[in-house]
Amino acid sequence: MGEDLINTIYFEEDISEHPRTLSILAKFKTARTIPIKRFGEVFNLRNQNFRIQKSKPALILARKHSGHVLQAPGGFGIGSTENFYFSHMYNCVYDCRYCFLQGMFASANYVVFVNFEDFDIQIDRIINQYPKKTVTFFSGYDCDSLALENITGFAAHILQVFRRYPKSLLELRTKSIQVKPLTSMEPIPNCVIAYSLMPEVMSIALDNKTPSIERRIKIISILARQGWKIGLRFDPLIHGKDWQVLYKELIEGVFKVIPQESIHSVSFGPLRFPKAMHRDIFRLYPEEPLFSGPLEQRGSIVAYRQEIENEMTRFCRQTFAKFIPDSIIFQCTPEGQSVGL
Amino acid sequence: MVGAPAIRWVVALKSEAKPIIQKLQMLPMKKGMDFPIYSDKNRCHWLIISGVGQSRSAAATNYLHRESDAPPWSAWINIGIAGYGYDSYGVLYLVDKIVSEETNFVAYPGVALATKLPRSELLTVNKPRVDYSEPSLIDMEGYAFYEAAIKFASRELLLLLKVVSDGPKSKVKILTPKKISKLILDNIENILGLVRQLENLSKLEFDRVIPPDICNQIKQKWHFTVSQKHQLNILVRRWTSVFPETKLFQKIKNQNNSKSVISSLSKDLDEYEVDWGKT
Repeated sequence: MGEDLINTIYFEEDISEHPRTLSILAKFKTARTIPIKRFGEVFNLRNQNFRIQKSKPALILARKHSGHVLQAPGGFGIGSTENFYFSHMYNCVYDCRYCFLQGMFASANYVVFVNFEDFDIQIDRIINQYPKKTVTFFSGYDCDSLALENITGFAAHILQVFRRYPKSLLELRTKSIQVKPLTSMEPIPNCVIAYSLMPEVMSIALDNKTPSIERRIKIISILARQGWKIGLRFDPLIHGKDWQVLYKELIEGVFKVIPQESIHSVSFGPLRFPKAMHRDIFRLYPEEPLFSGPLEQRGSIVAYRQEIENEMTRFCRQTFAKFIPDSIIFQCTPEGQSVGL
Repeated sequence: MVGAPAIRWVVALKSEAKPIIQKLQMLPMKKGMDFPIYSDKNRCHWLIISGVGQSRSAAATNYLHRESDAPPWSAWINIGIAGYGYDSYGVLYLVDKIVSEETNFVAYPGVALATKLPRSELLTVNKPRVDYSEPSLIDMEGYAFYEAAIKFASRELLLLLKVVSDGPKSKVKILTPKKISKLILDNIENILGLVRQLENLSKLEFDRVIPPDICNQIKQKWHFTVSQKHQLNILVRRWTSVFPETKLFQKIKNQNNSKSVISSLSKDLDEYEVDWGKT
């Protein structure tokens, strides 16, 4: 990320001398820095315009005081029964039109929590609570795990933590091609680098500011060759003209360059929004063609019509099964549990 | 319906306002108002002269909101002179943090505009002050303006600009209306550069908030209930984002009633497959 993209940094006075604060500030020498008491006084303000802010987000450096690691919501999972997630950051440098982060926070500014060590303590505590189980941790729920890595260094930090816990699993979810911390270290067998993918034409229309699908696949192939375990995430599945052809081409293309033994898991899930979130995102981007597709409200969720959803999941599942065993295919379901197939 | 863009100016002194009024070719509105108000011929820009002090600034902001029928996509600007401890007479600053001396409350105007202008904190005080030891600009209106205007607009549409008029080396006592006007005039191009950005944001907000014109035409032709009107606004937005707006009326002209209009548009969307290669 170029220095010119961030020109305002708010920082909590409490962490002004924290080494990570100093190191991040040093990377933005020309940015205006503004001391604050708590990040919420800027981030949680009412009357913020998310869409305008997203065009020029500020960075907020803060300390996370609680809730460092949380239970993953139902429908999240790649095989374990115990699933947790953590976010060293709120919001994402990318601007994907289907992303729930558009309706999640009042602000589009990026919050980075600098007290990584407190995340470590929580992770350690949870792993010790389940000594006989594989506990899976997901990073990249409230942000992209790697997109700001050259600023935060979080992935490099947390990977070393998980090296100590070979029985646990860490998933770093990303669309980023900033993989220097990964390529410059020995692969960690219990870490999965999970890439979100969709057909290129859909990605061009919906994944604003992200690396192209072609570049992502190129990076996945480099990481796989180096020995990293790869997760492929086709979530959400997007409907549109020729969707079967597009997904078939994508899936076949990916499996052509990524060896099967490198693939830890493949997960996929239909496009879905909680009703209120759909309303908020539609208000932000009413001109967005994504919302002109065959969507309907089913209970508390807005999704493609049931028959479309069924057809898409059936088709993708069958296509995946041509290349990988059922045991590593997972369907994220809107109503509840992930289904190992 | 008030159009876009919509810009509202709150200025304490006539001498501060004069260069802006001239540049934007504003004329005084009707006489006998609580505060002098000016507007340009398109009614995009409205300016009020509040007088000095927090209560006047807050009252004038509310008054202008009412008198100008300011829509939700209005951007609000407070511009004026300020004291500063650093030797920067005549420099225009963009304010990104405001502290009320009286309450210690803090406010953060938005920072989404692209500008190379220097930025600073602003301390709003109740009494004129010649102690410049604080590392902040000092004025007598900014915080109250923000508190009043944030009720009408998001913080990304609030802009506070201050020109340094006094400090340890530039005594406040020697300021004259002529000098004050010149301070603003000398910075007018930078000011208007930011205003152009705000105008664009205001237009974007208008497009986001207000349903396309064609919704009104449809509502005039058929009778819609309140809930149907809401449904129609959403459907027309969705429909026009994938089909040409010019064809919408053609599409529904033979419908008998509001229900069949809604059903016709819903059916189109239900059967529509987005062509992602063409979006």
